[in-house]
Amino acid sequence: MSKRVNQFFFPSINKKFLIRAFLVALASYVLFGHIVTPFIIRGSSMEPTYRNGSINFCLKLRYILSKPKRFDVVAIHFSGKRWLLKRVVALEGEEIEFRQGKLIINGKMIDEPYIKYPCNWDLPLRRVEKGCIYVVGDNRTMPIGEHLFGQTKIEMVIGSPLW
Amino acid sequence: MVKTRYLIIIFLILLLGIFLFKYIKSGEEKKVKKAFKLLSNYVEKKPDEDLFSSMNRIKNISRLFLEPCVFKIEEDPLYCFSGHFTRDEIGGYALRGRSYFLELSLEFDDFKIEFPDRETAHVLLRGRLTGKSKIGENIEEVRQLLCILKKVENNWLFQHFEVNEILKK
Repeated sequence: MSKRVNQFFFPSINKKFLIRAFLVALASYVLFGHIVTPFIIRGSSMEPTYRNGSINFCLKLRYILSKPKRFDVVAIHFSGKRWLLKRVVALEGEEIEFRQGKLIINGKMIDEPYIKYPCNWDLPLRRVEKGCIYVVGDNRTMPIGEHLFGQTKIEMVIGSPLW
Repeated sequence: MVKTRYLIIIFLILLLGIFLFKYIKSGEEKKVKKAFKLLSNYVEKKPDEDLFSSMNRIKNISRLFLEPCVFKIEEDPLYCFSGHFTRDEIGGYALRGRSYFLELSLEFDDFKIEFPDRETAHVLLRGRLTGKSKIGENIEEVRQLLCILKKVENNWLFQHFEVNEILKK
C-alpha cells in the first residue's frame, strides 16, 4: 500500500508519465479554457438566481449552433477578462418597454417568474436592432439608471452558465 | 533509458522556450500598462493643484499620443468626441476637460492585451473616471475601451481610443 501511495505522490519520471502529464495538461487547457470555463460571480444584479460570490462554469459551446432564446441567462464579454451575466428578455426585431416594472414585449405583458424582488421601472418603448438581443438582470430593486442592461450584439455572447 | 533522457531534455527545452516567450511578452505587456499608468497619473487632479503643475501635466498628456490620434466616442449619453487629433489639439481638450473639475481620477484595469505585430498593441480594458466638478457634481463613469498603441523608439504611444459600448439601453 505504501509503495502505491509513494508511486502516486512521487511517480517515476518515465516516458509514460511524461505523455500522461502532457495529455492531462492539454485536456485541461482545452476543457477549462475553451469549453467549460470556471468563473466567480461578482455583484448582485442577477440575485436571487445567481448570488454574489458563487462559482459556476460557462458553457462556451452553448450557442455554437443556435441563438440565445428568451429567458436564457447568458455570459456577455464586457471588458478584458470580465463578463456580464444577464438574462435575455427580448430578441431582435421585438419592441420592448417596462411599465411600472412589468416587461412588455410587442405590446403584450410577459410573466417573469424569476423576478423575486419588487421593481418599479419605466422604460419607454424601443426596438431591438437586427443581430442583437436585449438583456436585463434579475435584480431590479435599484433605480433603473444604476442597473447595467440593454441591447447587445449576439456575437458578444460567450456562452451560458452550466447551472 | 537513453530515449527517455532525450525526451526529458526536449521537454525541458520546450518548457524553457515557453517561459522565455511568456517572460518577453509580459515585459512588453508591462510597458503597455505603464503607458496607461502614466496617462492615469497625468489626468489626475487634486483640489490644490497649481497652474504650473496643471500645464506640466497637459504637456505630458499630449506626449503620450501619436500624431494623429483617432478618437471614437460616439453615442455616449455624456459627450461625443470623434475624429483625428494632433497632440496640440489633444492637449487643448485635456486642458478644457480638466479645468471643469475640482478633483479628477482616471483608472484603468481589467486589461486584455494582444500584439498583432511587434510594434502594435491592441488593448481591451475598463476605464473608470471619477471626480467632482467645480459646481459640486460627483461623477463616476465606467466604460469599456478599445485602444491601439504603437511602439515608437521603445515607447508605447496611443494611436486609437474608442469607447466600446456593450449594452445600449
